[in-house]
Formats: sequence, structure tokens, C-alpha cells
Amino acid sequence: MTQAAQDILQDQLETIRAKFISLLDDRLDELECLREQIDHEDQRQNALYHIQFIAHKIYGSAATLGLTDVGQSAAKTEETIVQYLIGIDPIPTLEDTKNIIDSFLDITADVSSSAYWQSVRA
Amino acid sequence: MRILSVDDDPIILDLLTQILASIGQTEVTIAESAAQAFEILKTDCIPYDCFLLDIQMPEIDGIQLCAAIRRMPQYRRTPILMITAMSEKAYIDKAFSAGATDYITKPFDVIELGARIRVAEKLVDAQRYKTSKIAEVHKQKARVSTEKPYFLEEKLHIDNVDGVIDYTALENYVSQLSRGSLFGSIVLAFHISDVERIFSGASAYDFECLITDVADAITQCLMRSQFLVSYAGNGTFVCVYGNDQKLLPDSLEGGLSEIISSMDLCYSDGRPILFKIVAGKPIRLTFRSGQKVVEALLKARSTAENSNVELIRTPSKPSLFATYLQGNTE
Repeated sequence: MTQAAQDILQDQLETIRAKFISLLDDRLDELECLREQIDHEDQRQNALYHIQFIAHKIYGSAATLGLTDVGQSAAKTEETIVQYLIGIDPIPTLEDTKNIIDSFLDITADVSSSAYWQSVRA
Repeated sequence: MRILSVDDDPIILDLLTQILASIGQTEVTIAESAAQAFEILKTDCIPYDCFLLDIQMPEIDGIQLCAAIRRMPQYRRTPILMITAMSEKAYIDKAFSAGATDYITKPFDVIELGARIRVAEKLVDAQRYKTSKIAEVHKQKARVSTEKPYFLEEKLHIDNVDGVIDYTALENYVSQLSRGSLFGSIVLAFHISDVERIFSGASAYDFECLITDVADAITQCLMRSQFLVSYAGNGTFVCVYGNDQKLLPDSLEGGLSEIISSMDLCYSDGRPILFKIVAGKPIRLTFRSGQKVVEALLKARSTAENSNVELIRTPSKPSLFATYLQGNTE
């Protein structure tokens, strides 16, 4: 790839990154709602499936856009939920699973809000 | 190259479009679901040269979409690259069994994605050339002529046999799976002895029927295991299967011999195809990965082509499969 093509790609990736962070904000609302549902036994399984699906999507694009921490946290969340739901050793407890999800929500919220303040400053 | 990219995540579609544009691939159409992809394929008159399909999508997933595209006659050999953030072997196996050519892992590495697209482009170019050669020979009544649009070494594409994939796809499969995923799997090759004689005396149609029938017989032998089979050219088939203690080479040879005998393979003019099948030495994959596994495939092929183990069969009537094919083409 030529330097010019690389520069154009970097510019395009910046635009996509901004779109991703904006979408992350919407996803965060959904994730917080699903997180609450985990505490209700009858909604738990469905909520975990949905969180896993969203985490999977975030993992897929975050690292390519340079958001490594979010990507790694999403991957860890997906893996933990799969282990919990399917029962793969070492099977995490519900508390462990919730802690991993909470940590994922914190990192996602940090990225989302730091991007917000950056845009306000700009 | 006309590319159809399918993913339910708009961010991934944006990323793919921009990365592909940066390597000169600007004819990219996007779809956000399998249903939308079907609609595009139905209405778009110009065929696509390559597909990029996300595996995990709601409703119809990428593996189901891949299988559906493969059932369309115009896309039987079009490169299909699966996009996945899942590294589990089961998903990858299913994707290749459904007809995938290769897979790309998320998050994307821009350089690697570019390299894989270039490989797909080379495949498209090679297939265009082959298609034109086949059309040329068909014009010359290939059913009776022994002239063929390919050499004996050609890694022929085999249709309609579950678990049989192109050799390039098999190489992609083994070279990309993680070390642990293939641990304990067996690589074993079978070779049609005296294949040069059969090749020179058979029409292209008869030779392709023979290769398809032998591939079918091999898959029947391996049915109890998780497996993939590929035709490596030169009358040689390579199989990768799970480490099942009951699938020892000796018992496979016996089973294969029986199945092939029951097929009673013949040329189109009724002459029986007399041949022997030799098995190579099984190679157990330990912690081989990447290029080492591709080398294991080559070694398996080599042991089969130089083997002295023989399974002799004496056919007496045309195979049902060959008769079926013949009936469809006449």
C-alpha cells in the first residue's frame, strides 16, 4: 500500500472511529438495561445472550479502530458469558460473570464519555 | 473484482469498505443481513467475484448463507471468505464444510486482509481462465475425446459431496487454525495407482466422475468422524480427520475397498475402470501450526503416491453416481 493510500485510510478510520464511539453510547444504554435484567432469574439467560452478542460485535471492530482496552474487555466478557452459559471449565460463578460485565461497562463508559468531552473541547 | 460484503454490524461494513478501497478494491456492495444479500443476488444482473460473510449474524447466519450461495450454480466456485471473531474449531469446520474458501479473523489486520483478498483475486483470475478453456474443449465434444482442459496435476473441484472442499481451502483451513485446535488430528492421503494410464485413456467427463466417486467413497469411510477431504491432483486425495481410534488406516483401507468395489466404476463406453487405491502413512498432528501443517499435507500426499499398499477392485457395472451424472448431462 502506498503512503498516500495509508494516509487516506487513516483519515477514513478516524471517521469510522467517531461513528463507532457514537454507536457505543447507544450500545451502552442497552447494555446497562440488560445488566439490570441479569439480577432477575427469569430474564437472566436472555440478558446474558444479548450482552454476549453485543460484546462480540464490539470486540470485532474496537481493536481495528485502535480501542484496544474496549476490545479486550469485550472479548473477556464474551468468553466469560459463554463459559457460564455452556458450563465450560473453569465455570465462572454468577458473581464473577457480573463483575466482568461491570468492568466492561466501566471501560465502555470511559471511552464514550472521554470522546464526548474531547468533542466538547474541540 | 466485484465484492459482496455481508455483516450485520455497520461499523464492520464501513471498515471493510475503506480497507478494501485502500488496496484498490472499490466495487464493493454491502448488505446488513443474509436476507438483504439474497435480495441483492436476486436482482443484480452482474455476478459477484468474491463474497465476504460474517459468521455470527441474527436469523440466518453466515454459514447458512455460505451454503445457500454455494447452491447457486453461478457461485459454485466463487471465493467465499468468512469473517469471524470466533476462533472455535467447530465454527471454522462448519464454515469450510459449507463451502468457504478462507476465513479472516476480527479484529482486522489491514495487511493480512489485503493479502487474503489478493489470493482470492488470483483464484478468480485462474477460474476465469479455466472456464474459458473448459468451454473451448466442450465445443470439441469432450464427452468422447480424451483431450482435457486440465493437466493430471490439476486440483479439480468436486461438487455435491459433503465434506469435500478445494485443496486451497484445505490449506487455508489447516494453516490458520490455532495449534491446539488441530492437536491429535490425523492427515492421511489416498492415491489412485496407475492414474496416468486412466487419465490418458479417459474423457474429461469420465475422469471427473472417477475422482468424484472416489471422493464420495472416502467420505463414506470417514463419516463417523469430524473430517474434511480434498482432491490434491494427480489422483491423490488428502483427508484431515479427528483422532478416532476406530479409524485406523487398515480399517479405512478395507472400508474404502469395499465401497469402491460396490460402485463398479465404468467409462462412458461401458469398459470397467480397473484401478488400485493405495493409502499413505497417517500423520498425527501434534503441535504443528501454519506452514508446518501445510508441509504435513504434502508429506501425506508423498507417502500415498510412493506407497506399495494396494487395494484391488474389479468392477462390473457403471456406478449409480456416474449414471446419474451422465443422465443429467445428456
